[in-house]
Amino acid sequence: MTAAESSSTEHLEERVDDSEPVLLERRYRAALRLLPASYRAEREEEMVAAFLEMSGDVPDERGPRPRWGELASVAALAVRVRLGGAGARAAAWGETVRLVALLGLAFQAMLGVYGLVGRAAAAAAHLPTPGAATSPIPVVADVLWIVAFAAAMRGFTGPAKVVAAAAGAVSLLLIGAGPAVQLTLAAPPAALMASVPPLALLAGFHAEAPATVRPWRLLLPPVAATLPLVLLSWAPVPWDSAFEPLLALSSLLSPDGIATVACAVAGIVALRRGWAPSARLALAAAGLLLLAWRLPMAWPVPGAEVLWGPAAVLCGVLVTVIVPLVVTGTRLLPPERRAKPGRAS
Amino acid sequence: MFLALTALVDEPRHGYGIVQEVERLSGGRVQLKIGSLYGVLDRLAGDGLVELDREEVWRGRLRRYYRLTDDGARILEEEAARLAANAAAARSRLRARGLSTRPAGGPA
Repeated sequence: MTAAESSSTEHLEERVDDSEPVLLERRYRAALRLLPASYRAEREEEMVAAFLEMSGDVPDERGPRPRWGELASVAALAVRVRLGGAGARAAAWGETVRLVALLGLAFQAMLGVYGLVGRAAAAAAHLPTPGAATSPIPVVADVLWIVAFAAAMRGFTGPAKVVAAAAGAVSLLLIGAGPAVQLTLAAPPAALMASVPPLALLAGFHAEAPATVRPWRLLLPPVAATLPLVLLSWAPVPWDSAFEPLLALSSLLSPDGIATVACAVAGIVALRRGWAPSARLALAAAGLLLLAWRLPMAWPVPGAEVLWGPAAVLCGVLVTVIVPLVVTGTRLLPPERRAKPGRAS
Repeated sequence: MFLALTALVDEPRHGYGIVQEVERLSGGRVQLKIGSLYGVLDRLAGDGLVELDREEVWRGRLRRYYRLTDDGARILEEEAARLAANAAAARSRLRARGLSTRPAGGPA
């Protein structure tokens, strides 16, 4: 501790005066708890002083509260410090959130391509598509997710945030308008899957985040993964027959089934090849989202093992991969660094 | 960021002092929130454009004063020159169009 800091602390301890208003100060300090402890250790006193100078002396009897704008600015600072502030640990968390955003958008884009191609093929053949809706709103959602994914991957993060937020809002509306039985089982994970990518995009791609333009070829996997499914759905295979292996396979050959397998394989590769902690944690988060998505399908129903069995197996695989990803990813994160204000030389 | 750097040109200032000076410099248009101010200060200090000058205790509370570094002054000078060139180009085009332009700092 420097002489100046030691002197500051002594004076601060002398300050205690029972007649002074303390309520506003207490509330400001509570708001500052949004910030990491290391940051507060360095900044809290001067920030509280600045808050109170700005507010003036307000007696406790008037029940003073921090202004909403100030609270929002502290929340925004907390996001920035946690996801991109000083130190390698914050940078790793920031990269984790950005990867979660991109993986979530990739999944939604995959569903979007699958939905659009399926509808187009059905329309061209004048055949009904399973689950196809007559409303154009699902098409709007599909297109918005694809555009958001492409924009985020190519570095247009500003437009990507707007489009992803719109896509999330439309998808949530569609989920809310679904049938009651769907609302009880599949709606919460679907709502999570529609909310997390835009939120992660907003939080992770902040002003200080490194601008990265990913190559065009990385946009292809979500498209490539869905096309075989579309072709298979038009193949002359009796998917709806009672032939059990086919039924079991049909539950795996869906966009979320493919995504689950891809996530599990990527997780194993990440563990074996020593990928960075941010990649491990992002894959674990993506795996958790897919696990939540898959769980309602894995609910045991007597006599329908062929349907929930494969889903349960995939859930088990996901759990097996997620746990070591979280453990090793957390353990490999760089140590937390104390934030220091710039020192005079 | 430009206004925060400008606020530190004449003398070191503490957090709320920077907020007040930015408001004054902008004619009341920019009112920095405390959370935003410290985000800006973190960035400026990280880039070596400002640094801690001293610490003082005022009415029992900690005040940290920040000052502009030589690098900060150079970056501010470059940014001011860039903005002045943009403004000059706009004025020149407006004059060519036959519109009179008010002198800088004139009444709105």
